[in-house]
Amino acid sequence: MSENPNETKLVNFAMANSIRRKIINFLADGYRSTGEIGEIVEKATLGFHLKILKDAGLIELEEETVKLSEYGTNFLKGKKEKNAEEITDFSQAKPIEIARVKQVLPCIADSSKLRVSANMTPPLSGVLKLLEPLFPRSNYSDRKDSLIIQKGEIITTVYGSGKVSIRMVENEDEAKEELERLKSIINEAIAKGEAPAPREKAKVDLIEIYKYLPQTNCGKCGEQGCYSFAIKLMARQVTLERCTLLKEPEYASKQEHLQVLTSYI
Amino acid sequence: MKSVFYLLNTAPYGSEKAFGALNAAAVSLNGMNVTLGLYGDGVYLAAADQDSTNLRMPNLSDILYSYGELRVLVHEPSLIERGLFDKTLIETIELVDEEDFLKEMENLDSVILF
Repeated sequence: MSENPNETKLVNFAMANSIRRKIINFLADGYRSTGEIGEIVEKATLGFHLKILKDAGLIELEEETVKLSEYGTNFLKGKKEKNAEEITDFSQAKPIEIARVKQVLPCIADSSKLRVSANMTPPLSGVLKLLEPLFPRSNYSDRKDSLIIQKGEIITTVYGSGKVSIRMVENEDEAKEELERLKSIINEAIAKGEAPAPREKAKVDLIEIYKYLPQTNCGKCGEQGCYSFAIKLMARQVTLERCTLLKEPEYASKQEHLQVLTSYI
Repeated sequence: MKSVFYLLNTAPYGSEKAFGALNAAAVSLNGMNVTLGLYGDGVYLAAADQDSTNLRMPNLSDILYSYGELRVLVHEPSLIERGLFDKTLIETIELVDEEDFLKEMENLDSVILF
């Protein structure tokens, strides 16, 4: 069934709704009556959701009984196996190439910067999650199968389908450099074969950063005050070394705290 | 205001509204919880492989791909009503029922209609 693009679209459509995903997972253990399913989802829309799942070939309906079809069972099994594979290594992954830079347009939030669309081949679907620890500021979304990577002001989104989008770059050359950097980091990891250890995540708060700064507003860093400096630190537009006061012995412990905090930004 | 729901109720091309909604959503992303809700004719924005070359307008689906962190909810009944049931959709979207769509709007601090 998945070989047919039209049927694949129906399956994708069916699975893009969280209620239908809930029904499919509920059916994983076996037969269920429509009454039982009606207890976990809104009864008024149950018939509609079951019809979508049936049209996609994921379930079979017999009077009041609902079960996963053979395809639905394999689909669910395939998803689980794929998830299990995702946490192992890069043995199935092939080195990537940046196929083409498709579009260069001004950014929306800052029209002096550019956003660029590109494509990478082969697509990284399945191993994208493993790449997250390779980038200090990155976030993987399982539902969207996308990895968002931030480096300074530049934000890159890599999709499992192979699409890559970079925004906040100064010019096309910078975008190409960024794409090359991305390619070399990913290919290096694929060549090693081993997946990097998952990265510990911590959310750093602007106020917390400010709390550990000297709060003298001396201006030696070139900023209006310590709060402005904290904002720039959060945006990675400055480094901690710019604050010369922190190098003095009385601020030693605050500097240590800040070094730890800024490593999580 | 910590969260905002931008509601797009008009077709993506032919007016500046969809482009405006995407602009507003993109600039709000820094520091706010932002959701873009596609309702009525706005659901056409969820279709993949949009080509706006002849319209001389920016390709709005590319903007959605550029801002991958933006949460996009699509009102499923509107989508079905417009025959987009078997069309390829942008992978970053989430389909939701009438009830869940309204619940999302109610749960955010502000709803801005485009």
